Amino acid sequence: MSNDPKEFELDADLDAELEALFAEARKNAPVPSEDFLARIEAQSLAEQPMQVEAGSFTPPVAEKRGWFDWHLGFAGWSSLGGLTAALVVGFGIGISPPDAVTSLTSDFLGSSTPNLEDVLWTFDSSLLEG
Amino acid sequence: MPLDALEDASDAELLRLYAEGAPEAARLLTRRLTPMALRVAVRLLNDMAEAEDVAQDAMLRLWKAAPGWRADEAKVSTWLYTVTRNLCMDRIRRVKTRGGAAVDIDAIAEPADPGPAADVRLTEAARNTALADALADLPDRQREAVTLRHLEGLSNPEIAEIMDISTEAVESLTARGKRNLATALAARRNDLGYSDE
Repeated sequence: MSNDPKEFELDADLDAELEALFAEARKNAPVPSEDFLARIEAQSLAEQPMQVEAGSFTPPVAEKRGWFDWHLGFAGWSSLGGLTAALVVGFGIGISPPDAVTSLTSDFLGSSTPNLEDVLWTFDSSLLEG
Repeated sequence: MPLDALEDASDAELLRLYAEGAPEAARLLTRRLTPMALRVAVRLLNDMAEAEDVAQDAMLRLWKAAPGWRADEAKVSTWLYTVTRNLCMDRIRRVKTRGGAAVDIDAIAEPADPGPAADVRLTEAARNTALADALADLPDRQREAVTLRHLEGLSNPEIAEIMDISTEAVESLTARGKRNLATALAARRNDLGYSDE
């Protein structure tokens, strides 16, 4: 038997009638019942590898983190020990400064307890005048 | 994720979301693909109950394949057509091996004898039944090729992939299938509403 499709071609009228039948069949294609669809849907949910709550499926976003979390993530717990020690020493120097610190401040600022205008030397107070 | 945001997603994208646990994807895939699997199964088996079993089995295989799905290797619809077709062929072969007919052809009504009622035009539904009966009588591969080409609207290369044959073989099968359908339906030409003129 030949495999040449042309050998089996229908005449134009017959072909058109068959095409019309196909078109009707496509239009009246069998459709699944709601019960059947519900069964398939239940099966799909039962087979789902892991399930998230309906409506809550969103792409993962980075969690908001505070400074503490950021620091921990960046440098770990050990860095917090050093930071705490530095804070304690700094606080102690502020309350009871050693002589060396007092003389250094006096050399620079002319006073061991600097006032604000001395520190903000770049600030032109004339700008505040009317 | 809202359901309508996913409606434009491709089958492959939905399958990925399904594997990631999105129940919306499961629902959409069910509604989108089950009708396709059922339609093909009904046309190849000519039996709704058998077709539902096959469609359910095909969909189950899809759910199981989802976690390892590789979008670059297969189109979801082509994969599902192939699985559905293979499951149908397995059933047909099993029944034939047992000595019966895959589709109980004896149970299919013979074409009506031309008689006093022959000039009564059949309804559209009756014409569909006549076509389904004629399709059921075709050799298996011709029925598959004609169904996929003319009822599912697939291209010849897609059918070739599904049936694992060459495009030329698909063309030959559909041409022979149409010729055989025309012959089978010729006896019912008047019933089908076509005049001989």
